[in-house]
Amino acid sequence: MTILSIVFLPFAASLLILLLSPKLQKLDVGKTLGAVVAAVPLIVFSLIISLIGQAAHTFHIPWVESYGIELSFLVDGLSILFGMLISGIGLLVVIYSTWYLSDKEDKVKFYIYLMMFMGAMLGVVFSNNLIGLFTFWELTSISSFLLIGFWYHKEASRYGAMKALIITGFGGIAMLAGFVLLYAITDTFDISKILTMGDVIRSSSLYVPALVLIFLGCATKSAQFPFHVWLPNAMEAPTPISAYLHSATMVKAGLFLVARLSPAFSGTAFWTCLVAGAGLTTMLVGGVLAIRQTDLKGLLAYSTISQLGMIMAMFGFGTQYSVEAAIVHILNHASFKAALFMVVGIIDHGCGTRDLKYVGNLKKDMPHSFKIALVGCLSMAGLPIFGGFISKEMFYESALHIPFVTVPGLIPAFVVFASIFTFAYSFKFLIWGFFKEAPGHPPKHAHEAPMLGWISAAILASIAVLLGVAPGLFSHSILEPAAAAVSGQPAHLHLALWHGVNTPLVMSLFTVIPGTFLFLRLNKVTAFQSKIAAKLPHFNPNFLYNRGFLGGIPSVARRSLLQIQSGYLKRYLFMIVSFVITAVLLFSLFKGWTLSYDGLTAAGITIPQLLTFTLIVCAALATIRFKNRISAILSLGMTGFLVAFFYVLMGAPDLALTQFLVEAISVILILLVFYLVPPYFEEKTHKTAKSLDVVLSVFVGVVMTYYMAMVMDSHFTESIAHYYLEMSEKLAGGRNVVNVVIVDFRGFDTMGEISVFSIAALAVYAMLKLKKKPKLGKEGDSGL
Amino acid sequence: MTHLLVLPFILPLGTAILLLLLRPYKLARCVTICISGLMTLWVNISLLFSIQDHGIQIYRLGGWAPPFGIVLVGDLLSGLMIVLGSIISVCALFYSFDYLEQDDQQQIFHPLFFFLWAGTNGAFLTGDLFNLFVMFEIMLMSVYALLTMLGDKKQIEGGIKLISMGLLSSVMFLTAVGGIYALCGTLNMADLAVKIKPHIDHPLVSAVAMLLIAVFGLKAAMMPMHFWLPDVHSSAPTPISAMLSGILIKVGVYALIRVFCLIFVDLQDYFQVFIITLACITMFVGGMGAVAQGDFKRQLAYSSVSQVGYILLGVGFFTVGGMGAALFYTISHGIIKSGLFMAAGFLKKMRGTTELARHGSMIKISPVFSLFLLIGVAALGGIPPASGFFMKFQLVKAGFEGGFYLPIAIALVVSLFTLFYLFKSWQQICCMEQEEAPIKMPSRNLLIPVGILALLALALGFGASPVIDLTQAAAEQLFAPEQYITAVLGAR
Repeated sequence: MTILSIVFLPFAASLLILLLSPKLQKLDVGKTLGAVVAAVPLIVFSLIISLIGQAAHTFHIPWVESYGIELSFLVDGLSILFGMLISGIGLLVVIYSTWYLSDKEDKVKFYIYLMMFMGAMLGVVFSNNLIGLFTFWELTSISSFLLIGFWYHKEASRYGAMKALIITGFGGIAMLAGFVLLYAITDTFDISKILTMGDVIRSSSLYVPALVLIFLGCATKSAQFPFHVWLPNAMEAPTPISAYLHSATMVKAGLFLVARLSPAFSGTAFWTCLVAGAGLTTMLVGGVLAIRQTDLKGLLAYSTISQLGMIMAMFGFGTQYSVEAAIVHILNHASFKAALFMVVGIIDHGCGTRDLKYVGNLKKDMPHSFKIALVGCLSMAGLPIFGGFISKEMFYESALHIPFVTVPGLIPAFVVFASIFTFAYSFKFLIWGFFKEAPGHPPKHAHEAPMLGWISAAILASIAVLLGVAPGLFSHSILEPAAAAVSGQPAHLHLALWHGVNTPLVMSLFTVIPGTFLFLRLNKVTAFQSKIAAKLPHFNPNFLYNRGFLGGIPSVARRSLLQIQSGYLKRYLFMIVSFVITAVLLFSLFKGWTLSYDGLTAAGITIPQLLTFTLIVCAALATIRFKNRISAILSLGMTGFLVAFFYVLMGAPDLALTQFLVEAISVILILLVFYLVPPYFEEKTHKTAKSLDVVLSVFVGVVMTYYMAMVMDSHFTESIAHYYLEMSEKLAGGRNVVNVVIVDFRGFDTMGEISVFSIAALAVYAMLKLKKKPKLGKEGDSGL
Repeated sequence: MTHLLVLPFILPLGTAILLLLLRPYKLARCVTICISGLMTLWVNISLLFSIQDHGIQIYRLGGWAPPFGIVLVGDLLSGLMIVLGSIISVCALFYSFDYLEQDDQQQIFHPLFFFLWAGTNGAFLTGDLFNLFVMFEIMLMSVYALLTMLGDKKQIEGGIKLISMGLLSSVMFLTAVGGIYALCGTLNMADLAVKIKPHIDHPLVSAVAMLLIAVFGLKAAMMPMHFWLPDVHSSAPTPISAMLSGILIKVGVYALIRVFCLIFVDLQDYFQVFIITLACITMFVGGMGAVAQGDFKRQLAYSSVSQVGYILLGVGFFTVGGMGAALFYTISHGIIKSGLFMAAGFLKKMRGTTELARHGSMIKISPVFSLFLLIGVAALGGIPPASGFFMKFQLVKAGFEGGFYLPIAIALVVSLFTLFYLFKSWQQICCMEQEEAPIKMPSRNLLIPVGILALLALALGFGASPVIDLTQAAAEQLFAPEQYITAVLGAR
């Protein structure tokens, strides 16, 4: 039950605020609402704490049993670690946002979205069913969409929200396909069962596609290259959201899933190649791009990308030690990055901007923020005595022992190279922001936030320090079970700042020295980067999204649609008829429809029939050729009367009579209608179009003639018609069989047809009675 | 023999006539509409339950034994479809009271609406191929009348397209029915199934089957026979747009399923690649069309084309899983899309247009509307836990099980487009600043059916299990056509 309350309490809170929102909007809720909402993560956090140390257990609610879909929950070390992050940072973020959001902001909506996100995120990490997990996963995308677009009147917010939704939505779709493939291998969606079937999965022929598809989901969510482009634009969200969703929790969902599924998938060369490859590339790309940023939030966004790549790489290495390192770094990163984001929010509020072109030397004006930023940046740069140092050393150590990599020293060199950028951007944040004087002036005079503003960040910063000086506090109860859940073996962490002089320490030296050098030359490097970027404007995944997806697809669609959906009825009919007749012909030909004359001769054609037929053809041709409407209508009527004559020849006088009547009435009606229309046709059709029409008409005529002839020739069984002939008088009491069929045997049809006539009459009545002012234009619609 | 089976046709038909007689009395009309609308819904639901409990049911019209007279047949597929139809119809009826403001419009609208409803129910229940043609005529004529009754220029234009292509499809239908009657000498579908089986490889049977694919494909807006749909669905009065996209295009799908799972069972493999290819093209072209639209209602219309492609894809797998997925898709899409059309109608009432660029700021003007629209959009986009997710999920699962990887890949790519255009429109309608003030605020009652359908979409996701079981059972029944044949013709 505890687990249920953990996941559903935030949802309940969200729903409650939603239902009360009309009332709350009217009341001036101010900070009270935030205080009330803060209770939710607090309760959730304490509930999760209470679960620590308990044996892994599950709880499930049935959903769709026939597919093995349920909402089931699994409590183990990994989910507890993430659950604590989500609720703990969630609590701090709620506190922070009570200060951050001014009174005129729509707090009600903010907390509805935020609580929905928190519930969804908790659902993701506690889920024990892939489809349940997917449900929560997609809900995080939706709430992220709503939160990025929180200031919905801003164009950039809407753009960012859409981009995030599309890219993560793409990943989600791929992931769903991957899950279904995984189901095809394992026949279950139950995660704990899947995790025990690693050997089956790895040896399956669907292993590679399933892994790639699922990894696409993880990579898009965790902003791995080249899907990272949504994350910088997501920074349009209010800063508490950036701190929470886009650095501490949601973007780690991809890492979480990689970790969660690694017992089932890891341990192959393909896994290492894919996951570590993506991670390392992302780490470097994120770092290289981060040093360019002057917007502090942009810097943090790229730095998040880089750090996510680093963690992804560690999971990709797939050794026991690298997994432990990844787990430690997840906690570290969450603490220092969220703190730094909050500092940026304080700077933004205090100065009215967060661009390093205008803000700088904030050390004195913002003393508390400075201390927090100092801790955060040094931890991010991986310097002792902070948590970041420990995990970076572990990262280096794990990079030294990677399975499946044959070139010695390649990966260690690469990670050191990538870390140089990490070092540089960390110092850029710290030195440029707090020591160096900025070239411009901020719109507002910098001032520190009240305690409510910086307290959350301060707590996070102290955790970052604790993680460095007393890592043992966390290792036994939280980190070891988490690492054990990922690697499947009991973990023993020996976290300490000092391990003696070893290879990782040397690697750190090789990071710090070039890093310092790079930092000192930052302006030159960024100028060089800008030059490259200007030369290669298309060499960028953003270009693909903006011009290819946002711009390209609609314009291509519009252009091709104009071709297909021209708006001209004639063209539509032409396409339909030619398609259908061709298809009919082909499908019969493939079944062995031979073009023989047997059918025609079997129908037993007589001379009078042939004569009538010729006359019908002549009349039909005349109808097309006449330029005068009246003559055309009359010759059209002619074809009808001749058809009726055919009936006479075939021995169906009653049918002929009906046809005569119908034909007479329609000719008269058409003549009456056309009385109002100019007497001569206007020649508008193009010549080629006209000849195409002729070709199609002849084609249809030939195929249909054959069809009819063949039909006449083949009877599979005796018709039921004899029954009507026999029973008409006996059972229905009528001698005119046709009449009996119409009113009795198939009276239901007749009732339907009578309804059709009534409806038609009603349609005419409606048009006459309700008509506005009919202005019938000649132009077709454009199809758009 | 219970008379329950004929009520879904007779009740609306009788109501239509009664409404014509009661034309001058507004109150009496309202009472009649409410009573018989709800009664038809209730009858249809109880019919579904009774089919579920007692198996396939038969009604011999006029007491004539099949194959000589016409029979109505209620199997699970028919039962599901008429229930879906009545849910949408009841919502559309409720919506129409506030949508059509003038009483003289309602005087004509409501009888026509009930004619349409009768035709739809009849089409789902009939067991006779020619009678199906008659039901198609009833539907075509009433849609035409409902479409053109307000006499708007766009509507007349749509009407002309509808009636021309409708008549073309009637001609093709008659050609096919005439051919099949000449070959087998019977029109009862069960009897046809028996009599055609030994001759299934005859070329003419394939010709007839292809003609019927064309006829039903035209009704269902399958590429390249979809041309009528965007104009008609977007210009029709909103309750009718909801009916068209919600249930009427599904009649085509239904008929296709019916003939291919009863009469042409042995031709399934022969036409499979063809149907799947067309389904993929339909999906893709519809999706692209929707992306290109600047008008919300037209976008929804194209989206319907695209979604029909998904349904046809499920049908085209010709597996129990695929068919079950297609049926669930049909139900879920019907509910979501008709709700979305009604939301579009609300916008139309507000500003006199559904052009996206003229709308905006709805999140401020009506947060409730924005919420409902978001639910609808997310549901159609396949976001769990709304029912749209299960449409997508089941299709993917069935496709992978059948080994149809490429069509599923196309379906998934198109579903990304779906997500894109729907959420983009939501952003435009709800988030963009719109300076221009609305002409007037429409009645809030219009939002009630929108809300009901949105909540139904959610409920169908949370409570997907019974519906999935039911659709799977219906699919299993479809792949055991002996049940149907035995029920109609008796044990042989």
